[in-house]
Amino acid sequence: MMVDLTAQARESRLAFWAALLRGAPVDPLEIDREILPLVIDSSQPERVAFILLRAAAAIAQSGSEATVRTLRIAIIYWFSNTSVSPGNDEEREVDLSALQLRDIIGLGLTWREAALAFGVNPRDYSAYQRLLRKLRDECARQWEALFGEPMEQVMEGMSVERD
Amino acid sequence: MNETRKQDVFESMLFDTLSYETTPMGGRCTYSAETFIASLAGDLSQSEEDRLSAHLLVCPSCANEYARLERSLRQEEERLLTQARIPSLAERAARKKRNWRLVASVLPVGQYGTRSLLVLVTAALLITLAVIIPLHYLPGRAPAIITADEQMVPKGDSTTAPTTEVVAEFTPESLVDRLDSMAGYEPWRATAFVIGYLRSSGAPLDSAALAFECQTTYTAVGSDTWRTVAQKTLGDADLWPIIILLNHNRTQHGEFPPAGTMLRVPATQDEWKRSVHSRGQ
Repeated sequence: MMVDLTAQARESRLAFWAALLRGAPVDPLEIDREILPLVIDSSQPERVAFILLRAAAAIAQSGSEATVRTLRIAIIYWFSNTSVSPGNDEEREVDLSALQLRDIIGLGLTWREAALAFGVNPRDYSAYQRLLRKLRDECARQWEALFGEPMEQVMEGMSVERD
Repeated sequence: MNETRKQDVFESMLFDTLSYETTPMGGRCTYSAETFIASLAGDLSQSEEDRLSAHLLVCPSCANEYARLERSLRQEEERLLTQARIPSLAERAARKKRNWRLVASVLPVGQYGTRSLLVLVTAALLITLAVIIPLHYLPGRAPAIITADEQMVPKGDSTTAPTTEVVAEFTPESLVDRLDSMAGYEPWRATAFVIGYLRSSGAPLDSAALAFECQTTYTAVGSDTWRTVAQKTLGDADLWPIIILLNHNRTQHGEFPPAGTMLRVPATQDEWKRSVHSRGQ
């Protein structure tokens, strides 16, 4: 039963990520309605995954056009580097038409390759740094509001586990 | 933690979380092959496609099934495209050459002249057959339609079919007898019998001008015979068998019915068109 709930929550989160990748509007309240009941009493990784998605949706909803574009580039960059180490000598072209989340998993794209797909300056990392900071702040704010503790402690804990 | 360190830790956590998100896991599958086919055909909405995409990321069995269907579809598409492609002139020439080699391979081995002779003889034979066969089926030889016994098979009984030998000439009496003997058979057989007879006897029948499906009536007068009615209604006395065909149940042994009898006669195509037109109005 627990596995079913976790799988259901994960599938729902990925569907929202897919919508964000397309640039479709995602209402954070919709995420709450669908996923919050499944993760409220769940494990730490489930909670982090929920907060990360909700923060990204909040930024997409309130951010400028440039911020939304940077977020979409970042989603391609992040998901393409799950399960593989980033970086590759040969530069690849990303076709944005009919792009699905499952098409980019494991591609290992660089930020430059992902940025080129959107026709933005591939050397400008500052937009990505700004987005990361904004996302981190939004995650911290939402974590504290929902779970009542600072997220920094959780991050520190995860960082120690990794080390 | 300083700002850069915080940023690095957050980015690492982000990658870890998304790797966790895309790790395959078991669960309940609610998707069927129909959904996969709809997706491959582009029939799903964007949000349905997002849901399916998410499921395929975490369900290896569905992902395998989807990949299998996608491969099959691509192969089928490729096959159809290859078949639909018009071969180039060079390909067609090569195919002709292959066909000739095939023909040559079955001919007896010998001098080139022997093969040519065999090909010429075969071609001459085929041309002769092509000329003879159509001649055999020219319209003038039409009575086959009434002489074939097997065409007169009654409904549900194949053992009591009447003999339909060609009759040189009918009288009204013999025709009525023949039509009476065909009662119980499908009506078109009697019609085909009469029309076949008229054609073989050289009557000026233009069945295209007659509308058998639309009939009209004629009231007999004292001096009428089958021939005069045919003359008055169809324009030719020799077409009397048609009048008998439509009225043989109104006569005994071919005698012409008494004056005042309403007889059925086929309408001409012009009459039929006029009738359809007036009904439409």
